[in-house]
Amino acid sequence: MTPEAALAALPFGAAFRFVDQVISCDGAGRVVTATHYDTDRKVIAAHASLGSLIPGSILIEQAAQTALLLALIRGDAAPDRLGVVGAIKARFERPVTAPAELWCELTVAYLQAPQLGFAAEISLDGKVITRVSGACTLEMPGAPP
Amino acid sequence: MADDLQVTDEILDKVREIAAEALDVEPEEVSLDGDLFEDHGLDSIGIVMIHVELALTFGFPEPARGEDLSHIRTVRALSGFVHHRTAVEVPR
Repeated sequence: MTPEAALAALPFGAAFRFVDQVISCDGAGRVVTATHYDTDRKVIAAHASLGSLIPGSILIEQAAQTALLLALIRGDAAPDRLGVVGAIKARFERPVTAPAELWCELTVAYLQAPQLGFAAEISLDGKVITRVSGACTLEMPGAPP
Repeated sequence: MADDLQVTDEILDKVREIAAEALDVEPEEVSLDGDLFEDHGLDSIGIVMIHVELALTFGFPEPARGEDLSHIRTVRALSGFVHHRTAVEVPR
């Protein structure tokens, strides 16, 4: 699947999509995505009292959606049976505020279908702000075969 | 797998530490030869997180597609897997 088709296949509406663009994808297990966070985005505006802080939970979601995107591009996941994250480990190196464009570099660390493990670094201007690793099942429980 | 290769205590200790974190227990509670699933209650997501941590810690790449890892169920077997993956990455 092409990166563009994979982006379109993410099962989220615009309000909850935290991957804007695929910067690069080697097709073998590494992808870099970009996400722009504006201050008027609802989830950021809700944190205006904190100086438009980008919430850590959203950074985790950016990494998880990037993992799903890579699985779609590689053909490890099907658009109609998309899976869910089962475990996440995150380390926040520094806070970041909007507006900002954050890149997520993600590599596949484990793949035994239907399960995938990944490691990701989210960065701002080349400096890592968050490290995320996770495990997900690529098939939604109860999805039709 | 690399049964003929010598697994160091350093690898065994680190793998046990990673397995203990996934199980949310102390490393001393994880036996080297106990089945992580049947004896320690590890679930299918837990083993994925262990492999991710091993890859990050020891720096080896994603396992090849189709490689069956389901038989790796103990700390000692995981350590052998790590030793094999790291050994093949180092030029002789």
